[in-house]
Amino acid sequence: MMSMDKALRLQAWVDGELGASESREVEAWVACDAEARLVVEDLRRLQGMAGVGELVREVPETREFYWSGIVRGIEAAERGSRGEARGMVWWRRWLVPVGALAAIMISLPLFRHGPDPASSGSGFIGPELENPLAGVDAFTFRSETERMTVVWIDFTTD
Amino acid sequence: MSQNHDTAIAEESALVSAAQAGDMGAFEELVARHRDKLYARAFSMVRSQDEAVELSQEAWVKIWQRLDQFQGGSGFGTWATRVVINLCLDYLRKKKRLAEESVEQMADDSGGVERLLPPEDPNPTGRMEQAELREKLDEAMGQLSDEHRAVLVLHAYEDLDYKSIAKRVGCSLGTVMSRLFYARRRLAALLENLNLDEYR
Repeated sequence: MMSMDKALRLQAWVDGELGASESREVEAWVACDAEARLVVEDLRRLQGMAGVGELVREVPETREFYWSGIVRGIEAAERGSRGEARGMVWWRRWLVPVGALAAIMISLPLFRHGPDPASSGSGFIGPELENPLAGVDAFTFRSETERMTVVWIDFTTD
Repeated sequence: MSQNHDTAIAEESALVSAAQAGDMGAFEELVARHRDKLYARAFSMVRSQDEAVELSQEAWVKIWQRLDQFQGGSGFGTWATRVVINLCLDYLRKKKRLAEESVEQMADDSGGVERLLPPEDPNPTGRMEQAELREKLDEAMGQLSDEHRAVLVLHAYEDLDYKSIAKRVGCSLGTVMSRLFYARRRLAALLENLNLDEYR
C-alpha cells in the first residue's frame, strides 16, 4: 500500500505540477514501481474522464424573468451606493459642529489659570483656567494623590 | 467557420464596449449569451438550483458594476465565469468555512493508497457515450463535499493550477493536493461500475 505523500507526488506529476528535475525523478520511479504505475494509470483515466466537461445546464427561468431579477439587483445596488453617499453627507454635516463642541469641552481646562483656593493644602497641583465663554464658568482640579481630574462646569453664573 | 468565429468575437467585443458605455440593451444581450454557462458553473459549485440562479444573477449585477475593469485580456465569458466562481466560493466559505481543514478528510487521508479504480473492463460494449458519462460524472460530483467539489471544479473545468486554486479557495497548496486526490478517489468509487478506458 502506497503512502499518501507518495500518491500526492504522483498526482502532482500527472497534473504537470512538478519541475523538470522532479518530474524526471518521478518518471524513473514509476518506470520501476508497478504499484506507482497503477496509481498513475488510474489518475490519468480520471483526468481524462473529467475532460468530457461540465454537464450543459440551462437557467430554469425565462429570459425576461431572469433578466428582471438582474435589473432589480442593479437598481438595488445603485440605490444602496446612493444611500451610502447620502449617509456620508449626513455624517459630514454633523462632524463640524460636534467636533467643535468636543474641542471646546476638552480645551476648557487649558484656559483656566491660577491656583484654586479650595485646593490649598491638598494634593492639587493644577492651575485654574479662565473660562473663555461668557456666562459659563468651569473649574478643573487635578489631584495627583487621587490620580483624578475633575472638571466642574457651571452654567448658572451671571 | 473561422470567419464566423471572428465575427462572433467582434460582435461580442462591440456589445461589451456598448455595455461599458452604459447601454443596458447590450448588457442584456451579453447576459442572454452567457447566462447558461454562468448558471451551470454556479450549479456545479453549489449543487442547488435556487442558489445557482441567485448566485449567477448576483454575479451579473457585479459584472455590470465592474464592466470598466474588463480589459479584454481574456474572453468576456471567461471573465464573467471567474466572477460567478468567486461568489460561489464566498457562499461556500460562509456556509461551511471552506478554508478550514476538514476533520473527515484528514482522517481519510491518514491511511495508505491503493488503486483508485477497478481494473479496466475489456468489454468494448460497456463503453459509454460522452453525454452519458457527463451525466454520471455530474451525479457523482453532486455527492462530493463542497470543499472537495470546489477544488475539483476549479482544476477540471477552470483549468487552474494548484497555486491558483489555493489562492482562490484560501487554503494551502498541500490542502489543495489532498482535497483533489480525495475528490478523485471518491469519484472513482462512485463511478466504480463505469468503463472509463475510452476517456484516457
